[in-house]
Amino acid sequence: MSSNDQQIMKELESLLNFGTENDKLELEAELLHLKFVGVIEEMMAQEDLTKADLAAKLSTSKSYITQLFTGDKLLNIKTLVKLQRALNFSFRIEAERKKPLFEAVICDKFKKHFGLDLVKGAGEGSRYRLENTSEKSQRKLIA
Amino acid sequence: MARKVNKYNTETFKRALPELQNSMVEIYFDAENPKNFQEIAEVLTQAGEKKVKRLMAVILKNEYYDHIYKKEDGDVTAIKLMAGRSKNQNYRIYCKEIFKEGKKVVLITPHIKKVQKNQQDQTIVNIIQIIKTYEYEF
Repeated sequence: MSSNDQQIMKELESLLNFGTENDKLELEAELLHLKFVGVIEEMMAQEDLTKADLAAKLSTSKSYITQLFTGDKLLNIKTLVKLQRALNFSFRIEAERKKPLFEAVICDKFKKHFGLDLVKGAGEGSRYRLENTSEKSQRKLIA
Repeated sequence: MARKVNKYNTETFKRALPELQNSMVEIYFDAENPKNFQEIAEVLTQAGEKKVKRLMAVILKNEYYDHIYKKEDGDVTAIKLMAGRSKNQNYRIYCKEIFKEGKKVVLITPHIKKVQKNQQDQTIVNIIQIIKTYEYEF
């Protein structure tokens, strides 16, 4: 890679840095918003509706609809209800619990505390990843 | 012959977001044509961090949205962005997806969309046909 390309890549990579925890939260909010947008786009395609049609149904502007679809503006619950009415559908909400995942820890420090010194092959410097399942806590040797 | 690419390092970004931690998608820039590569970098910089993060997260999540990143024809896809000095230019960045050990997305050609929806832009048709012939090795 030429030095000029390297410089450009460095600048591009810096665009992906998070300044604050709030920046990360905002992006996660946008990604959740886009899940709704995906459903709405699908519903519009089924009804053969354009953004202008949808804007008219919601008594709003086409540019507001575009901003929603690009993620520049986020949906609120009231708008979701309006969208359900306009497109004659209802959202089905599902939730999935994530497995709590702990960071890898150095066993020298924690093996005694978790009783891992009894695990065969847990030598000095080994690391463990601790995962909780819904049934019971499990301790899993990863290295 | 395989075209040159520059790999976009997204590892830290993937690690920072729980939804991306298992992503098997990688992003590359076609580096064969320096002018195109520089223009793409300029478009992304002008679009701003917020939009680039959103766009890259969508690509890395292996998702498609008509107004952000969509399938065009076969393995050719397009990124949609408003860029330019006053962010009033309707940009497309045409890409190619390669399914090998996960998915590789190569950003290839920038293009300013000028025609209205439903009007055919011959330049876009040509770009897509050319991109289809490009080969990459990873």
